[in-house]
Amino acid sequence: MEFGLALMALAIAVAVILAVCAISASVRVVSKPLVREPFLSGMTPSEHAVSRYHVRWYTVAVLFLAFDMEMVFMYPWVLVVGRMGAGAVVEMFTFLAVLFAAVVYAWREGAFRWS
Amino acid sequence: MELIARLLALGVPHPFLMTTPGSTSVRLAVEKLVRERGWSEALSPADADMLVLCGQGGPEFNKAAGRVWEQLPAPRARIVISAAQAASDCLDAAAAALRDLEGFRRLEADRPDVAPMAAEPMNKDDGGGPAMSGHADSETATSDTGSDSDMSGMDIAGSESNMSGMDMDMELPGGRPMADRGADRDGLKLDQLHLVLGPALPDWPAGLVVRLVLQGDVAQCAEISVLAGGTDGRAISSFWADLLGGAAQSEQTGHLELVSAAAATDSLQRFLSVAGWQSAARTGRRLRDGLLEAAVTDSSSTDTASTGTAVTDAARADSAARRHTLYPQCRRWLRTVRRSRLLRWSIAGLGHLDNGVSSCLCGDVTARVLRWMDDISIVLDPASGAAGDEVLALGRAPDPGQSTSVPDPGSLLASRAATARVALTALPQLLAGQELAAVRLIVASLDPDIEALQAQAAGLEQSPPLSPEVPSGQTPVHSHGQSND
Amino acid sequence: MGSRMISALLWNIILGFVFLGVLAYAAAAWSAFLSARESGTSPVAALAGPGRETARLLIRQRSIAPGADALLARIGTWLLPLAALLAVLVIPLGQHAISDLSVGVVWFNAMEVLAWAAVWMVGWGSNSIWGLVGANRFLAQGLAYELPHMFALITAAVGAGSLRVSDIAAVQEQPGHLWFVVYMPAAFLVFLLSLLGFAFFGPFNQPVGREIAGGAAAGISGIDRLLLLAGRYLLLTAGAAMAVPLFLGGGAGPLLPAWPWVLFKTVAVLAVLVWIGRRVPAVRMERFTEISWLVLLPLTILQALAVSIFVLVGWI
Repeated sequence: MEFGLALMALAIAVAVILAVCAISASVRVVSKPLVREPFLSGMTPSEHAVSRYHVRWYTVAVLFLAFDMEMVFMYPWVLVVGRMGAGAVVEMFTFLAVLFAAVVYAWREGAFRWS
Repeated sequence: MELIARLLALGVPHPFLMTTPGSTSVRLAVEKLVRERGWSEALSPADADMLVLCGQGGPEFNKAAGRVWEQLPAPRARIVISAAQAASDCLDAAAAALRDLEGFRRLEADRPDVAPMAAEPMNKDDGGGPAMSGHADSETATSDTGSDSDMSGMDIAGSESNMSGMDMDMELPGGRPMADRGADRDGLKLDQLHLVLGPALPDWPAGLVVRLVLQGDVAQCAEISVLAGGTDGRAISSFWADLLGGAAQSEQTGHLELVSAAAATDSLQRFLSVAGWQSAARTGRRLRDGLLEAAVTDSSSTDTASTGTAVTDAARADSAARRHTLYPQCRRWLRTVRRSRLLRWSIAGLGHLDNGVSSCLCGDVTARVLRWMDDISIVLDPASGAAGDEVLALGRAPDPGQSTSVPDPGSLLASRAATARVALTALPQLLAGQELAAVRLIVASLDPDIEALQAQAAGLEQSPPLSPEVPSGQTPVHSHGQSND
Repeated sequence: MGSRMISALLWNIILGFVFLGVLAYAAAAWSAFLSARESGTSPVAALAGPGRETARLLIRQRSIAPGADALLARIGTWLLPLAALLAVLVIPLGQHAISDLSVGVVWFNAMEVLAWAAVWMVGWGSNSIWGLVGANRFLAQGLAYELPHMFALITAAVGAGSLRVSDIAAVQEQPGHLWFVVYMPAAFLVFLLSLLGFAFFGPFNQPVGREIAGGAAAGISGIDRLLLLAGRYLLLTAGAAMAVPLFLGGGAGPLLPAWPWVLFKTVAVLAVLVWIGRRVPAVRMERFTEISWLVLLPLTILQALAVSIFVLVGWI
């Protein structure tokens, strides 16, 4: 039960936050939340803000995913690199070099500039 | 109860400031007091417990103020400050009202729910979208949706699509439709959001309203308008132009430079704030207050020159002492800002205006910011600004060649107004296609003095401010920009 | 497990949380102190500022917009302090962490990434354009700082050959071994930078930026705001505390026992972070992303390579 303590800590952390919320609820000057239109510099919003937001950095997100998957290999690699010796280092950093070549290519294609 | 009252007394007020054009003096006084009291300015109504209206505005401004007021959670207090001298007492009163638990509980008890449609979508058949602002209307007494210039098209469009939205789907909360799509620069069809910058926004030029169509956080297009300042009939005066004019008349050497340095510091601190450099902006605000005080003391000392020399000497000694402490601080601050590579890098290449436009607006954001710094440096090190830089100190003068002669107040006002007009004309093109952050930086670097624009227009017309020209309500600026140039 | 042991563990957890809370308050107070000095008001009085702000936010009415996803926003505001509290689980205060997981480094990483979700949920859930822009700014920011951050974490783990945080600290405490900051200065600096990033503090505060009316936090008030602001300082503090076992030798130090050293080093890192963070203007992601991917990322990869070679050669 390695994570038993973590569960216990989670319970206590939630209890702490709940307690703060309970304190706030008991001393709040007006308990009913204020329902008001969203702030728009003093003007009336003409539509709901929740919408399909155009993220122009989506290419960075894709690239990030590729690299992030690599981290899955890297964490276990850390534990064995001392035992496996130079071979493990060469393999891992060759792999990283290949990935980074992709980053350089993406940069040349303008993936990191979106303004 | 006892505990709540105690907690209430502990809280430091967070005022949300709204300034009408023509009330810069009030804004400066309020900002100074807020700073000295250690209060912190709220960035949005949700964080604010105090709505501070600097000056009494036109109907459009009052409507905006009403909407903002509805968005303040309890405890809340609201004050209108019409004169700089009254600011301290007004803020005291508001702070006291915030601690009066019984008082505001009574008020909150019959507070209308601003958006009843959220709970009961069926109730709102009568109102639709515009009903959202209905409460604000009744509150601010003098607003008449029909007569004033609320014809911006946005409200109309909003309410129309409201109705269609309701036909299709009764569930949409708040009576507002979802975002609609529009073509973007790459030929994609993307959701559009309508964002309005101003009049109620921190670090924003008073009276300016920029309506943006956003896709993601990129402004597809920008529409500029200007709010009418002042209550009916009362002419607007431009704070900085008046002060500069007074300084130009005074015989004291360097007085004009001092005032223009104070004005530049005000613009610069606001720009730094927008650039996300809070600590430099905060220092700038303190130094601006110092410079302004020095400038005002100077002018009053020249006024009293006729009555008695003793008073003048005392005032002079006082201001000299202040400058001994103030100027080194200014120098240090300016050096830090000027040397910040990170700032240069993050604002480089934005908002470029051609050389032809105006002597003090040309170049990009960086160039304009550096010009403010030069304006301030001249006062700090008069030796450096002997001949050539003099032009910069009077940067608002239309013709650099005339800067050695004493400019009269009228021409100072005219040049400030002209600069503002050029800035407003250029804005729509500058802002289109920019990120929201860049939009804010560009506007802050131009910092159009709407006040001067309206004061000059009022002076020219010699008539009540409902002229078809500049000051009236929501006139889009680019329509008249060309005619004036 | 006896009940005595359980209560000891319980006290461990509570003590850890209390330390984190006190340090986070100190960071907020230090920030307020510096602000007051800039404004020319009494800096000493400002030390009580965060406490007074807490009192103010506790009694304030909550506020929501019609059509907003209030539940989502609520979860977001909870998630931020929760992530920070859980992140300290693996940080050893002296010899022992609350729960010395064998994958402590990964645990810390996972907790800190929760901030992405938290800020995004708050921004999206407030149904305001400011919130939406702020929320998406934070995601872009995450994409920029996260990879260098992960490589910085990995580098320290490579140095010790373990993902257990106390092992990493223990290696540096052995006689003849230097602190990891000496072997991997680039990783340390990048780690500090990314701390500012995930706590959206200082130059990386654009997700709650002033020029977008508070961004993700624009629409929330009262307790929600309190949790968000507190969570942010807690995260910053947890990150600063993590820097100590990873790079600064953990509890190593003369005279005093280990735990005061850990606290002292954490305070020092925190003070420097807050001070530096306020000395610089905001960094916008559309410009920073390029730097991060093309400068910081290869830098940290090379740093990891160098440290692996050190390990092979036997220098560490």
